[in-house]
Amino acid sequence: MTTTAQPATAAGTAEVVGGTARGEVRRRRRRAKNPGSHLLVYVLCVIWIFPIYWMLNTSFKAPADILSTTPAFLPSPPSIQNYIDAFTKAGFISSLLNSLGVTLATVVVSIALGFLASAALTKFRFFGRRAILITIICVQMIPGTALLIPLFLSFKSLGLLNNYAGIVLAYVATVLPFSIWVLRSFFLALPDEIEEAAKVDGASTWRILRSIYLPLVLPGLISTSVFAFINAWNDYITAYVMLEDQSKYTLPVWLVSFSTNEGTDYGGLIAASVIFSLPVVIFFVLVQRNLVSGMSAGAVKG
Amino acid sequence: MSSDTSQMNARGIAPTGADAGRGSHPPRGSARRRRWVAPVILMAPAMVVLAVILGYPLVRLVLNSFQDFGLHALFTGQNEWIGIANYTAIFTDSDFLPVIGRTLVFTLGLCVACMVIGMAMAQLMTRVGGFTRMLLSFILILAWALPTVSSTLVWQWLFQPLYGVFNWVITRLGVFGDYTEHSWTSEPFQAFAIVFILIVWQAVPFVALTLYAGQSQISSDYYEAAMLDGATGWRIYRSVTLPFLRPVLYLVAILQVIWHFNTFNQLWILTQGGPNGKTTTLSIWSFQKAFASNSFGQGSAIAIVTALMLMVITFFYIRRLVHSGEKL
Amino acid sequence: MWRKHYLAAGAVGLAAALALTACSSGSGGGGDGGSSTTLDVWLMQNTLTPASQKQLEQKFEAKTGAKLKISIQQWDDINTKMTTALATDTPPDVVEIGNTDVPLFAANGALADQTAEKSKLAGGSTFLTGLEGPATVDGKMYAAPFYAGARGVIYNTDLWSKAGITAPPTSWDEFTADLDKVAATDSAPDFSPVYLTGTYWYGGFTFVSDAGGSIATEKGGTWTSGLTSPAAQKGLSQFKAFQNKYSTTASRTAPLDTPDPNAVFGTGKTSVIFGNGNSVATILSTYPALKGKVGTFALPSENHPGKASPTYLGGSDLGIAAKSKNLALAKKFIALITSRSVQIDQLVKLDGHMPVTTKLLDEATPEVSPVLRAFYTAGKKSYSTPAAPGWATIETDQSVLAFFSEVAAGTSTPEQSAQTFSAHLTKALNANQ
Repeated sequence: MTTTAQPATAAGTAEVVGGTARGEVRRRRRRAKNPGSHLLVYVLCVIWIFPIYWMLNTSFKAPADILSTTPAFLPSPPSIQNYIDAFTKAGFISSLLNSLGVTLATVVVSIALGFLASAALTKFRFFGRRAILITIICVQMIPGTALLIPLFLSFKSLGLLNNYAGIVLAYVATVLPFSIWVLRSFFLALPDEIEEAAKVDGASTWRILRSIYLPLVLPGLISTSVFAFINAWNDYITAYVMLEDQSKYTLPVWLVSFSTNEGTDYGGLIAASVIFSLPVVIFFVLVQRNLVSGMSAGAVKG
Repeated sequence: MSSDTSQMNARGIAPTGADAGRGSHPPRGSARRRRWVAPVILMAPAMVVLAVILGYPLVRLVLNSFQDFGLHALFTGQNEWIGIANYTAIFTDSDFLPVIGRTLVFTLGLCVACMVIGMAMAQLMTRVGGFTRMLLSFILILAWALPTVSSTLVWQWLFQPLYGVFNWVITRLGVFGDYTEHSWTSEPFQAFAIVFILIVWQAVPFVALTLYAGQSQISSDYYEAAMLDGATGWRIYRSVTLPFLRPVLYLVAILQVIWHFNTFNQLWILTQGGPNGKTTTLSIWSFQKAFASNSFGQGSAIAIVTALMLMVITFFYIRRLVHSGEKL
Repeated sequence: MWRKHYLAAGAVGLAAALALTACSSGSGGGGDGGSSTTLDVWLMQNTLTPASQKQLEQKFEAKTGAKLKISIQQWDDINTKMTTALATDTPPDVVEIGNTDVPLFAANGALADQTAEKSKLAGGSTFLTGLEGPATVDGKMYAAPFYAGARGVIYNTDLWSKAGITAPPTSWDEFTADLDKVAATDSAPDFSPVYLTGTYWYGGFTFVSDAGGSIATEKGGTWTSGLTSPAAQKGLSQFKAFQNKYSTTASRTAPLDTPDPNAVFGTGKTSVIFGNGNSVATILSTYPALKGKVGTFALPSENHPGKASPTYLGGSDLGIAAKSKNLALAKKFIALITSRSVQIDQLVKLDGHMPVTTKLLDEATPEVSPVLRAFYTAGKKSYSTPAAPGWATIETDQSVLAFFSEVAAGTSTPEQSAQTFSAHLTKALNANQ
């Protein structure tokens, strides 16, 4: 059994490198890839990148060049004034650090809780299991804005206002139903034989979870961690309402400070949005690597 | 929900960490004990968080919908019970039916568009080389990662009547006529259209990447077996990919329904429910009642009606989802 | 109880996660601010410059011996945050509230009554209408005026002199004649003599008010929309005619801030915008090339020759939370704020705002740069938004923007638009919140 990860599969492919006998089929699959698919993918790339390109393009335009009836497709001359404005805006560093802390805590906690709960909900049969599954998906159907006031009132009673633990728990609770459901489908896709083989070897539930399931559902964990990250990172209203001290504000609250009663500093805002999106991109690049190693671990099963 | 969890806690707290591991050892101990203890321990943390952080506010939300709950109640803590008055106020509102209709059509359109494009994209990703795939997934994650507030602002800018690049491009194309200074938000259909494109742009990455992650879990053995049988393209997709993908597919579809039904930010920033209330959906309506008119009671009632409608719409699929893939 | 559940959860390996949340929560130490020696004050973004904030803290400490803790808030969703914060048992002691939003909180028991202090605070003068009006509900004053910001006409003197105009207009006819001349100098498709969005309701009501109309009137506790009256209709038509003739087509339905009017002005794509003293400051700091080329004047009245049009008076009031435990200290703070030393030496000189009484306005006029004086003239004659909590509904749901935008775009006639909007307005103003 070879477990070689393919360097070319950085985006995480499951093309498991198996025994040499499969070489023939693999070659056939390679050939099967047609140029039409490539062309289509590149067209999609252009469509999806355009708004982001436009955002970057705008962010490097001098304030005076942003308003132009003949759009400039490249900033000329490029200016980093917007970025200087953004970086020097009060509260940037502290809100960046706060956001990172809150978001990472949310990711860790929600992945851990989601993994354990979805394992329980798929690998065990007990009374109320389906009811729980249905309940947590229905919880998601309540519009988020409607929950704001009740959430605030209960945080008030629980003493969780103006407190990072409260914010993290609020985010965890928001992403958990989703995480559990996504991970559940990953668990369900695993063949039962693996667990049975491990049981025959005398492995404990805990060991099966850690050494067998964890690596196998890693793609699911990556997917839910990205979701948790983006949710926690982007929230404005919960953070703004629940946190009182300015020193505790997160990045989205800082982002909003670009639009005031007196108008919106559009250049600064767009540059700030770029800066704001960077950690998410970095996070994705980071988990991407784990995704590949997770895949190669998954290859064991083949 | 809360009774479920209290039961779980009672059992969950009892064993220590070490016990929990040992307690779930398969051959020893009674089978009964094993069946209960392990899942309860595993689920306890998640269920506690959900019960306390979501369950409690949910109960409050339901109670509020039967109260005259406005600013006065909030500041003074005095709530007056008014029975189903909030609900009758909503149902008899002349806006009610148009709002529901709009929400349903908008949601359906978005779900179909996002699912079709997302599935096609996920499949395309399995058919192209590593670099191309990486490029697309990187671009998709960028689109997905962009904060809604920023992407909505970019949208506002792209479709800005005078300075927007979109009007400039389609005017240059010459096919559609002169769109100089054309305002996309002053006519309901067009206003919906630009919000629609924005949401598809934002939501497809999630669908495509999740489905692709799901597809990547399918062992290549199955594909190879199918290929050795002489199956190609579409048939492999139908006979191998789709059956394996079904649980993920159902889940993604249901989440799409739920999320699109509750679309708020994009609509609010781009149209504020206008022109003339013609793009007001349930979530905008709920927000307007709760936060603009400060009638939190009516806002809560709309939220509950929303959730009930969603439950009815998705009931069949959720049932199938719960049963699908379960071999237990 | 919470911790205990979590420890149970630790059994399955969550200790690390717990540590993460627990230590981040420990750092704050609870900002209850209920201590008798610290006054917890919420001010809005850009209200005070950092230097001015420091001065205020020092003055307060010198005067009372107590400490001042100022938290800066963002305008976006401030009403939601304020609403929830005022509902707690440990609210901030003093909060800055945008003048038109005061009734929302005043009428619902969130703010302490300050009527007894009123004459003392006004220092023998009278508060500006646009600030005091909305803060007065059922004859009681629930918030003290903090600072004002009148809107006037901001113009590019360079572009105007190119059109052969050397002095600001003194009458409406002169104003429109000047604009015609400016329009003739530049035919670029995105140049317009005026940039005024259809959503600019502050300006819209200026026209309504100048024509003798009113937004709404109260009689025996019931509000009635005034927008369908012939006078208001005349004003709406005048607004539409002016907007349509001198601003771009795209601006009829453009949001208030996209594109940012300051940027449209700063990049020379228009010669006139409507704004306040802060707009001038923002323009000059973003577009330093315009230094010395920005002029201002109060908008001449279209219907009353020789007079100025009533302006929208923006600004803020200061409310004391009804549940504040530092009521006496909070009153001392407000007395300090309305004193000459803060009003003139800080708010006028450091922060670019306008003072809150007519007397202080007169005293401050010589102190400010000539470019700002026009706003002082304009500020003396202001219209006020209805002192009903429902007014905040109209602003929050943005129906007031949609209304003027509809009028400007001509999707329906001013009469039809006013009919629809009036029904909504009347309902909102009379709603029991």
